Order: sequence, then C-alpha cells, then structure tokens
Amino acid sequence: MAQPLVKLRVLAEGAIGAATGPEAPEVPEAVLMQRVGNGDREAARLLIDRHLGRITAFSNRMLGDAAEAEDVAQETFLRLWRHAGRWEPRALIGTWLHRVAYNLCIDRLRRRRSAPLDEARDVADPALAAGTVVHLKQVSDTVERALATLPERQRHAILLVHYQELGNIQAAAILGVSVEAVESLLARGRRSLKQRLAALRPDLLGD
Amino acid sequence: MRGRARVDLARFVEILNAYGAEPRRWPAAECAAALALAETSPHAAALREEAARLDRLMDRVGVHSVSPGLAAAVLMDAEPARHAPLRRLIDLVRTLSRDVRPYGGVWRPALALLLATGLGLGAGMGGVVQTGPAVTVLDNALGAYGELVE
Repeated sequence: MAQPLVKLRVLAEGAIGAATGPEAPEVPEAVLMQRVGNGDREAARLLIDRHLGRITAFSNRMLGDAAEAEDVAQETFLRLWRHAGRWEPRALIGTWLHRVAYNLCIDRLRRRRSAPLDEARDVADPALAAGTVVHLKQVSDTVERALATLPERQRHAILLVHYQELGNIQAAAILGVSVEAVESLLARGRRSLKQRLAALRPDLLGD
Repeated sequence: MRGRARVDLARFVEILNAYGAEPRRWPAAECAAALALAETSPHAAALREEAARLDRLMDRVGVHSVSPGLAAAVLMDAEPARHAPLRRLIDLVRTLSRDVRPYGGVWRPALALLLATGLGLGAGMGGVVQTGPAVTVLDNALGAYGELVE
C-alpha cells in the first residue's frame, strides 16, 4: 500500500507547487471571463479566490448583516456567471462586481424597516478607557457605530474608497455621481466621522 | 477630475480631507505631486499625520470572514446543472444555520460538520471547494487520487 500513497503525495505536492509557486502566472481577468463563459470551472474558482472575500466584506459593511451580505455576494457572482458569455474585455471585474453588489445592497436597505446595525453595540465607558489599555473590539464597535450614523451617501463613499480602496473614478461610476461629488461626500463623511468619534471617545483621536 | 500634475497646499488639504493620508487612495493623476509636497513641506507632513490618525481608527473596524459554504455555493452557481444535488444540500445547511442563529454557539459547529460531511460525500462529483488558493490545490489532489484508482 505504501507505493500508491507515495505516488499520491508526489502528485499532490506537484499540484501545490503549481498552484502556489512564484512561477504561477496571473491570468488576465478578461481571459478568465471568456473561459468561464466556456464552462471552465478552474477559471471560475480563480475569480472567486480573487473577489469573493472583498465583495462579501463590502456587502457586510453596507448591510451590517453577515447572512444578508453572503446572499448579496452570491447573487452578485451569479449575475457575473450569467454575464460571462458577453463580457467586454476592457471592463474591470472588480468595479463591475462592486457596482452590482452596491445596487443589490441598496435594494435591501430600502426594503428594511429596522436600523442597519441590528445588534446593540457597547459604547466604551470613557471613565474605564482613561488610563487603561483600549480593548480592540470596543474601538472597532465605536468606529462602526459612528460610521452607521453617517448620512447614507457619505457612508457609501467611504466604504467604496477607504475600505474597498476603489479609485475615485470607479467609486463615482458606482454611485452614479461625478468625481467632484465623490470627493465632497468623502470630505463631509470624514469630517462627520471625526466629530462623532470625538463625541463618543475623545481619547481615540489623540496619540 | 482635476488632471493637474502640480498640487499646491490648498489642493493637498482637499486630498487629505477626502481620501485620507494613504497615497494608494489618492487620485492617481495627483498622487506623485501630492507625495512630493508631503516630503518637502513640514506643514504638509503634519497635516498628513493628522489625517492618518483618523485613517488608523477607521482601519480598526473588523473584517468578517466568509463562511465555508459560500465559496462552494458560488462555484456551483457557475455550473448549476452539474452540482444540483450537492447544491441543494449546501443551501439547506446555510438556511438552517440562519434559522438557528440564536443558538449559533452550539449549532454552528454542528452545521459546519454536516456541511463538511456533505461536501465530502459530494467530492466524487467534482471536487471539494473552499475559499482561497487551497481550492485549486485540493481539487488537483483529488484529481490525482482519481488517476490513482483508475
């Protein structure tokens, strides 16, 4: 029995080297989309590896609900697969995915009646924080709470540019506004965020 | 978009106010000029550091991990006819995981085990899938196993 197991290990190690070695070439995404259109499962898998995590994270930040975010991410990719056969080579998959996910999130937000953040977030007791080590989760929750209170468009601009690190042109295309409008949304959003954080936790903005 | 190559202090402040302190988020056409200003002007550098404080706070927001079944479900969407039975199992597990969400501390590992069992049973249909590069590795290994048993 030893020989077949040795052969399996050698084949598996070869597969690992091929998939993760420094020589593994990065296939252009236009080529991957063409392959997906032809039923290439490996091409689909590569696109999932590259984009699923980011799109899910973006949807989660938009909706504040992990389950809904995954639904949006899945629907977004379903639409990508359906679009594969007529994909324009010069289009950017990342921007396309963000646009679709953004629109799906907006639809869900409009249908909601409750606030985006369903779970109660603990706001750190300033007296407790003074002179003590700040708990990372408390800081994270405080920033999330402050973000959630921003006007919707400002918050969306910040999510796209700061968290998803899309360029201003891409963000403008997704939001359906000019680049100047994106800058205005970002500047007002960051200013409001700073003011809210200063009110919640003035210690956080000092060094 | 402003296509100018030169960035004065007023424009630099606008860039910081909108995009923060990290050059990777700055408008591409102005990035080099803005960075040059920050490196030659102590006032600009101080303003950049102030913007960086807010950036650091914003970056503290946690990142949520993707559940293991999601990548599998998304991949199966690319080939719906081929994976229909296994897809139904994964959809059931993901639906149940939300229904028992209040009991997540107890049920989540149980459902993860069920999902893993289902994926393992379905491996012969065309490979187990996970998020990340490991998906390629594992499927190739399973393909290698298939070569062995033929």
